[in-house]
Amino acid sequence: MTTAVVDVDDVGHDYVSRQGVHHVLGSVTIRAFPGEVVCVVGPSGIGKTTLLRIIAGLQRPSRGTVSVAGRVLTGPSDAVGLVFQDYSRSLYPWLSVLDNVGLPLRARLSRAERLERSRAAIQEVGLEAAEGKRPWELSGGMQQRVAIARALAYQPAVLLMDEPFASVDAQTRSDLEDLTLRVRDDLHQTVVLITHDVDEAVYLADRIVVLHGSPARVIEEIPVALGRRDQLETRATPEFARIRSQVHRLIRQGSKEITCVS
Amino acid sequence: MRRILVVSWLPVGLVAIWWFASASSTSLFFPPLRDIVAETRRLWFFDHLRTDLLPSLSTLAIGYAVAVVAGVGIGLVLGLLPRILDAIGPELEFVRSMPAVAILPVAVIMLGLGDLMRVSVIAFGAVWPVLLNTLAAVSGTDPVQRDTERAFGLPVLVRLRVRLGAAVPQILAGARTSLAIAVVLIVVSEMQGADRGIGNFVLAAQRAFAITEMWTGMVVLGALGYLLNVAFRAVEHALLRHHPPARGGRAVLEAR
Repeated sequence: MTTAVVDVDDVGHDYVSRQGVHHVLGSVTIRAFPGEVVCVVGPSGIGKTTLLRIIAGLQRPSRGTVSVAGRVLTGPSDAVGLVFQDYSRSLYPWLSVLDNVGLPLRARLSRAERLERSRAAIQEVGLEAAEGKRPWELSGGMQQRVAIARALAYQPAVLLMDEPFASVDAQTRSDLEDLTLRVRDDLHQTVVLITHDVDEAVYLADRIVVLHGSPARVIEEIPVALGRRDQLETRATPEFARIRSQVHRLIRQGSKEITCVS
Repeated sequence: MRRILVVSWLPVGLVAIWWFASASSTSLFFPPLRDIVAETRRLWFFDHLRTDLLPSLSTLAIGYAVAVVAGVGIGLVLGLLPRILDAIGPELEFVRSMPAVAILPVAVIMLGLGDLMRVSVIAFGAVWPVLLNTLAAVSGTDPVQRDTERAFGLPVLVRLRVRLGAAVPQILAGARTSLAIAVVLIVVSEMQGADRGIGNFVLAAQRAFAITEMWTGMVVLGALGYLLNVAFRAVEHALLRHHPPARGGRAVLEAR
């Protein structure tokens, strides 16, 4: 058995506020294997963002450990390439596309290597023609491509995405979904994507992890075997519909369970 | 061409009104504009330009440069190290609330009547808008930007550069206010025991009842303010050429 690239092991997290201790994450265990796309779904407010920040190393979990590429995280790691939901705030507006993509490589690589890697990443997302432009001169979808290229240029073990397509229009969203799958195929990239959009999760994932409850825990893991994806055909298959309604049911069932408990 | 007309009808009209209304003036205090213009040409091209305006400008430039560099530097450090800010915040507020004009007598006692005193007064008075704007921009860095810096492990120097880059529009807004303050302070400081400079020129003319001469000082100061603003806008335009265009104010100014 191959070892997991991302190993979230029994992670729990609490927030302490003036109202008292708030248990956000109960006991969450998630593994992602090389080349796999794992989508974490759950209703909003469930603690998805907290989980993402923990996997990114931006936040230390109260309990449990996260390992990426075999090493336990103690802070942000070179092995994680992060794509934020809010591309307009995470890119630097006055830097060109090329400079934005190359910025994390500064002080790590020589100029020539940096340019080469940045250009390769920009090519991967199909933005060669825009490398000299500033992010604010690009559409939302193109800006998110820049953010993806920036994460890829880093050559991370895992691409970690936080609701990456939540703020673009439907057509662009489809394009970016297919782009993500192509990147996975081209670079054999492991992807962990956090979303509240069930359709998107079913379309992208090799495996769906459903979070529920308060504190949140994994209530189900669903393997998705839909073969090669196609925006029109895949979504029309009975298998797609079956998994989709299964996930929806789980989320709803989860909420009933909560009502019973409380 | 149309734009020139649209922009210039009011100033041209006002000058015309002044010109004709004052043409037959015999008042000692309000000489005809024609005389003022003639005197301006005689006095300022180029004798007093050399003896008064240039010294004022160089003092202004040095004081302003010190203010901008110190303001950005101190603002950056305080913005990045909130603990230091907490410690010296009240002192900063205390010093900041002193009008620069009021410290002039203190500066004269401490530093004498020379250029060092003037440069210091300008730097002290003009530093605040730049400092506070830099501080606000740096300490108010977007949380998503902070996460980005951390997630991608940007080294300290790169972080400093991107923080500074993001702060440029706000720093420039502060620098513009600082420039206006610096102009006020050069004039006022030259009215304190200076033997040259445009402030001294105006005060000396007024005291000697050389009223027309005094008015030429106003004309020169007005022109100076206008030209400094044009120059500032050019610098601003160059520095902001890669930033997203701001809505409102700047677009209107740039339309000219």
